[in-house]
Amino acid sequence: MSLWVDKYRPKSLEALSHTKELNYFLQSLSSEARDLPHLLLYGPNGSGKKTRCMALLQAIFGSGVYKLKIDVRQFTTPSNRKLELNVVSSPYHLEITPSDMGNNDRIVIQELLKEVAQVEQVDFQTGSASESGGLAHRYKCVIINEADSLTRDAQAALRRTMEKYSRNIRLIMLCDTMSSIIAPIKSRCLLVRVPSPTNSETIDILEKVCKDEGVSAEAEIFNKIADSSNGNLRNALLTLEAMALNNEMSLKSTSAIIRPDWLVVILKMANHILKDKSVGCLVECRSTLYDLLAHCIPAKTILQELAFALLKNVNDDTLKLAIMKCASTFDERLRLGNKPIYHLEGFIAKVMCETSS
Amino acid sequence: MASNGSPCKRPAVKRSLSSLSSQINEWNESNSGNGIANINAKKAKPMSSSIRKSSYQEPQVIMNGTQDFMPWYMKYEPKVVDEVAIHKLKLKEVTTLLQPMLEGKSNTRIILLSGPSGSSKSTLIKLLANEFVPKFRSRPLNSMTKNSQELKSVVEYCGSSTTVGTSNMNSFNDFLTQSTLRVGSNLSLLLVEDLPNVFHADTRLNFQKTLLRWLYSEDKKLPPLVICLTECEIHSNSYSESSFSVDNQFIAETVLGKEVLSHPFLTRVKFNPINATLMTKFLKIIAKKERASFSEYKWKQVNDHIKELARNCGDIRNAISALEFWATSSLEGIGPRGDLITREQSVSYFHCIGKLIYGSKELSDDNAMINDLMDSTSSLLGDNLKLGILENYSTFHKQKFPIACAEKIVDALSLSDIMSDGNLFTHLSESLEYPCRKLRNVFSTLSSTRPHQDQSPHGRLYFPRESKMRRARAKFEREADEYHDVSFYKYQALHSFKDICHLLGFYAPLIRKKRDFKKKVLNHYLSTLKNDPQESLEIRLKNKDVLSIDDEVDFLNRIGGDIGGINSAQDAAVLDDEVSIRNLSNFRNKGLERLKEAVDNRCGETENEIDDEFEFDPVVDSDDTTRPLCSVGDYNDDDDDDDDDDDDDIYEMLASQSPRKLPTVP
Repeated sequence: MSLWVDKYRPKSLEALSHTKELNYFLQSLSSEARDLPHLLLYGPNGSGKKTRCMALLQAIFGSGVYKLKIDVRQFTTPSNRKLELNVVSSPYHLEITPSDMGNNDRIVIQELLKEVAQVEQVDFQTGSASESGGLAHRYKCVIINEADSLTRDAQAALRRTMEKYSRNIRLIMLCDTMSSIIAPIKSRCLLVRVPSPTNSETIDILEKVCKDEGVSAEAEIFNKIADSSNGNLRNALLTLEAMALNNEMSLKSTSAIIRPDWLVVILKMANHILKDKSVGCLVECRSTLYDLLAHCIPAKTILQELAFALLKNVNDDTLKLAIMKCASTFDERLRLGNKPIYHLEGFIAKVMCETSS
Repeated sequence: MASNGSPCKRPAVKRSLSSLSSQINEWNESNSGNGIANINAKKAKPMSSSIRKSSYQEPQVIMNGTQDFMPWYMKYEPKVVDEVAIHKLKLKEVTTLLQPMLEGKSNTRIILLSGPSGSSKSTLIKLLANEFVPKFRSRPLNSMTKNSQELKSVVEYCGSSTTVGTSNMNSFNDFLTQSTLRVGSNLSLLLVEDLPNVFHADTRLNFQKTLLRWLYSEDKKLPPLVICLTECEIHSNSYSESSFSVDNQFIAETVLGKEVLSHPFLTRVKFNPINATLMTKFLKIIAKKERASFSEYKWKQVNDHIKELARNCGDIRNAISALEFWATSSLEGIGPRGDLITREQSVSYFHCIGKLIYGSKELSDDNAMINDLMDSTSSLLGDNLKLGILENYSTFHKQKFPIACAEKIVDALSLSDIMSDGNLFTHLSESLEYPCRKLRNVFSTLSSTRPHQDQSPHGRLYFPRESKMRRARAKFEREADEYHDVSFYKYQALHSFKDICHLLGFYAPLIRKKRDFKKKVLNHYLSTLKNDPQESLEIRLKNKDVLSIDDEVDFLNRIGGDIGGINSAQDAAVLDDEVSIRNLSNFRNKGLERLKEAVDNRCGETENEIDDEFEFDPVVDSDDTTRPLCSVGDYNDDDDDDDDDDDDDIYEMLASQSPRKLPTVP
């Protein structure tokens, strides 16, 4: 059986659970399916951007959008290198993730969009759509996941493509933060902010899932899970399921919260750093860092979580300031450099120095 | 060698040699593809001279006249063990190892002599073999026919002997199989100098397997096998390839692999470059014998020149050639210093790092030392060197130095990483120099305040873990891809790579593992219900989600393995890893293929049919779970709390039973 996080994913706009206002907004969008604008959904991780996006498509095209398949497409770079990319698609849309394509995302995006755009969409449901004005949706949707990781180059290329093919293509871009999206793209899209659920909303959802799954739970624990998940609903549901299975389907308010192991490792490391400011500790931290990197935890996330964990453990305001300063310095270096290990270790060493005085 | 050469032609010999050695240095140019040709070119040097003389008792066939025209390093090749330029202790080590082996009293089956070129490895082993092997040969019964003197003491493996084009992957295996009977009365020493093409991964694995078979062989009496491995670093140009593998570190760890090296029946003897004292001694002996070749002017300087040569070069073959060239060249102007022509004494990787961390004995001035280093170590080492510094700076004073110093060093490294001119992969040339100087600067102020004068401050140096990390990362990525496919084809759920890294990589296997356990318990229970198919069917229906776990397909362990710290051991598990990754990729394929097929089949059916099938065919197996989510959702709506309590009861009941009883329940 699929995970609860997938099992209880709402499939239609009506079923969407939190942030009701947004749901009405999306419903009104779907009722005017004929001129759907390009969309840019932004909001923190686990707030339901993708879910909403799919629900919107479902409202426009019907449940066919959930009939997904994966095909492999080939692209050729200017340097004549063959690229293979897995593209997930339904009859009505396709989605791409820039991080799959590395530095060649400009070519992939251009080629893919051109290919899609050159095929005029034929609407087989014309009959049923006649009451909504016929030929309601002769476009195909392209979902771009993690749009904030598109290179500048690709974004610039996208700008042109969006105008040129807007007849046949609608773009729906999803991103965590808009800061790395260039202005021309923002101006061509309808910006939709998807906030993460509030704690009480998260708790409601968790309660509902527990009821459906027959998990008995004390109310207190929901609070704890919601707190630890930090507004990330995916995290909250996964934690709930892991805990429920761990505790024979009955959660006490004292049950231990199961957090992702890498986060636990970072928290431990933060404690260690503040307790033992020695070269030996630094060496131990390095091996932990290497391990985190080996598990594909982005260096930026490591730095961020580590900095916050350190802040939590420090009471002195000047020290907090110093830690933030170090973190921002090394964050920039991470971005400029290409071997994260130097910068992460550099950060730890610097923090050790700053806090030891 | 020229047969009618006149003195003025002699330098040509040297030149061809140097072109050979430059060929070695440029290996990476023509790397993997035609590696074998290069190996042969390199190995040809020692062999051509020594094979012929493998039984030195034979009278010299070469006439005195022609002997003049042999290069000196062949002419003055040691004839007895005492003449070999090697440290006494090392000589003793090898002798005490070899003798019991020849007597058959030792467990050691393979001796590995490793070291840089020109460190007397092969010369020594051949001379030793000639001295000892005849002694330990048992007298054959019909000794009249055979004179044991005529038997060769050394049997050598010639990888190059097989014709070009034919596969010689098994040639080594054949060689060993043929040689197993070289014991007793025709005892001889098996010498492997010429390796198969180890740059080709399969050939290398084959080579290693053959060695392992030899090591594990049941046969009690095996002839002694000696492997001479000339180790060298091959500087790699390509940025991405800077890992610890045979392609840039041609050393025992990468060539033979961990398993062979750590076998108790293999003994490794490491040879060092020949030290200056020994070198001077032997060069002087040669110079004395060749007095006639030196002009008066040069003879006066010869001692200085030899000293300089000995200081710069640990390669005796090369040093003799250089001496010969200097002596015989007509150029009078070449001084003892200045344009010294020897093989560039390449500073090895760890040597270089050691110099940076601990300073150099010879050059007290750090700046000069670093200048030297920057000139000699090709900038090709680049990032690898910096990673090496990062990995090893902490070994200084056994980690007993203030954190502020460490901070300075790491900060320098971090800064140097961002010193680029816009292009991500080309760093400014200063970017390497900066952390090196910083490191020396920081540590030179510290070294005067050494805390424990009595114990050696030198720690063990390690190879950077970066490459290990990269391999682990590749493994994670592969598993994440598989996870993505499994969750798509089996559960119709799409997960982005980011989510797999952050959450699902940890949670999903955890959850599935619990369910897998439940499934096993449930299956036990179901086996007790054979008499009641109706009830068994009901339970199957109610616990579909548990029963659908398939440990062949589902991930039950943390993707990418548990987080536990990557160890910095210098060992090169590289080769083993390559194999295991290759196997890994096949692990889940079968299950995945099945899932894909099932999905493809379903695509042909209409939704209606799926629903029908669902209602009339409730027997669950893993294939069934590829049903689209919507129908599953419908199904779950029917679930009520009762079912789950039921489930719990079963679970409790079975959990309370001792596992031994379970099979006996009718």
